[in-house]
Amino acid sequence: MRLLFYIFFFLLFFDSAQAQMERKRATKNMPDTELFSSTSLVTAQTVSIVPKGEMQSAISHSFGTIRSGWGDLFGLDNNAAVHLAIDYGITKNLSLGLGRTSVDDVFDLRLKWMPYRQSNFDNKPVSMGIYFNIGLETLEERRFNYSFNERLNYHSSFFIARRFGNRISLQLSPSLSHFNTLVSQNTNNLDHTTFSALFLGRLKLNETNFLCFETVPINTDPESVSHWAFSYEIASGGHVFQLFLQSGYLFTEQYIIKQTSDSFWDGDIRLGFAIHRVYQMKRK
Amino acid sequence: MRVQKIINSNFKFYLLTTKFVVFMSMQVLAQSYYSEVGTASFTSSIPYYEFTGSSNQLTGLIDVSKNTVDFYLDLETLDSGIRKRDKDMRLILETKKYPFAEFYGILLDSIDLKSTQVQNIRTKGNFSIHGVSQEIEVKGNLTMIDNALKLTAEWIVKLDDYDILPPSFLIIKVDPIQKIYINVLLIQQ
Repeated sequence: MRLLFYIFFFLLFFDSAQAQMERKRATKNMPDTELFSSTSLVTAQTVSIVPKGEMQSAISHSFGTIRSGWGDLFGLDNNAAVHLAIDYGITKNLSLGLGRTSVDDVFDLRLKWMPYRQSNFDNKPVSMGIYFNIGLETLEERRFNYSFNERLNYHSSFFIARRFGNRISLQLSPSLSHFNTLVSQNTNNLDHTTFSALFLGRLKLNETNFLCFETVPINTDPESVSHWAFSYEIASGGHVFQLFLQSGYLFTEQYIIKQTSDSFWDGDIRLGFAIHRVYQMKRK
Repeated sequence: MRVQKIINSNFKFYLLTTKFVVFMSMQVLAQSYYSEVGTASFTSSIPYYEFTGSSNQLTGLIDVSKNTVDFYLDLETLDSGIRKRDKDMRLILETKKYPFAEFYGILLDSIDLKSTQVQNIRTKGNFSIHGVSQEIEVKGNLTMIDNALKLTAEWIVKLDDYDILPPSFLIIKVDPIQKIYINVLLIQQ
C-alpha cells in the first residue's frame, strides 16, 4: 500500500516538475468572424467595417450595357460612372466615409455603426448594425434653381447578417430611402420615400477568392426595376479587387433602389470593377 | 484495537507524506515566474516598407529551480495594424492548423534572484511555429523587480527554416528574415 502511495505521489510530483504548460487558446482580442471581404459589395454596404485607426480608399467604375456589342466594345466605350470613396474607422464599431459619384456629381457622407458582430469566440450568432447615408447632388441644373435642401437625399439601413459554416454569408438590409426632389414628367404616384430590402450574399471559393451577389427583392417604388449585381472578388494583402456585372450603374443605395431602370434578366448588364485599399493611419 | 492502531499509523504516514509533497511543491512554485500578458512582436522590413505585428498575450513560465523556460503565443492574437494583412498572416502561418508559436528550453546561465542588476542570460531549446521545430539559442536580458522577473529577448527567424512561404503581394514582397522581440514581466508564483 505504501509502495503504491509512493509511486502515485512520485508520478504526480515528477509530472508536474517536468511537463510543459498546457497550451490554451487566447480568448481576448481574437479576430471577428469575417462575413464579407470589404465594406461594400458592388453598391450595397456590408456589415464589414473599417477597423479603428485604418482608412480605406475605394474606386468603383461601371460601364455601359454589354448588349451594345462590338460597336462600343460591349459597353466599355460608354457611360462610365465612377465612384471615389474614403472611409475611416473612428472607433472599433463606428466608421465615417465620404464619396463622390461622377453621375449627377453626387457627394455622399455616410456613417456605419456595427455594435454587434458575429463571433465564434463570444457565441454571437449574427452581426447587426445600422447605416446612414446623405447624398448631395451638386450638378448644375439649368432648368431649375435648386436650393441646398432640394439637392439632398437620404438612405438608412438596418443590417442583419450571418455567416453559415465557413463558406456562405448572407445579409438582409431593410432600408428607407428619401429624395427631397424628384424630376419626372409623370406627376402621379411620385413617392419621395421608398421602403426596400437589400439582400446580399457571398460564397467563399477559397481563402482569397469569392463570388458575391446583391439585389433588392423588396421595393415599394413601382417605377423602379429591381437591381441585381454579381461580383467576383480577390482579397489579397490590404487590397480587395472586385470584377462585377450589374444592372444599375450608380454607387449609392438610394440611387440603385430608386433610379434603376434596367433589368439584369433582360440583358441590361454592365461590366464594372472596384479596388479597395486599406491604409494603417496610426503606426503601432 | 490492533486494527485501530494500524489505521492511525497509516493516517500519520499519509499525512506526513502529503505535507512533504505540498511543501516541496510550494518550494518549486516559489521558484517559478509566470505571465500571460507578455508582449511579442515581429518586424518585417524591405526597402521603403516596414511593418510591425504584435500581441500582448504572450504566456511564459520560467522555473528557476528546474532551469526551464516555457513560452507560447496564440498566433491569432497578432495584430499588424491592418486587419486584411492580419488575415493574410494567419493564412500564411496556417494558424487554424498550427495555432501556437512556442519555445521550450533550458537556461544556460544561472539567475541571481537577489540581484537587481540587469543579467544577461542565454537559453537553448526548441522554437516551434508552423508545425516545424528548430533548436535555437536565444540571448536576453533579465532584471529582478520586487517579486517579478522582467525579461526582454530578441532573435531572428528565417521563414524558410519553418517551411513558411514568404508571401508576395503584387510587387511588394515580405522579408524572408523576421526579427522577433519579446518583453514580459513574469510574476512570482
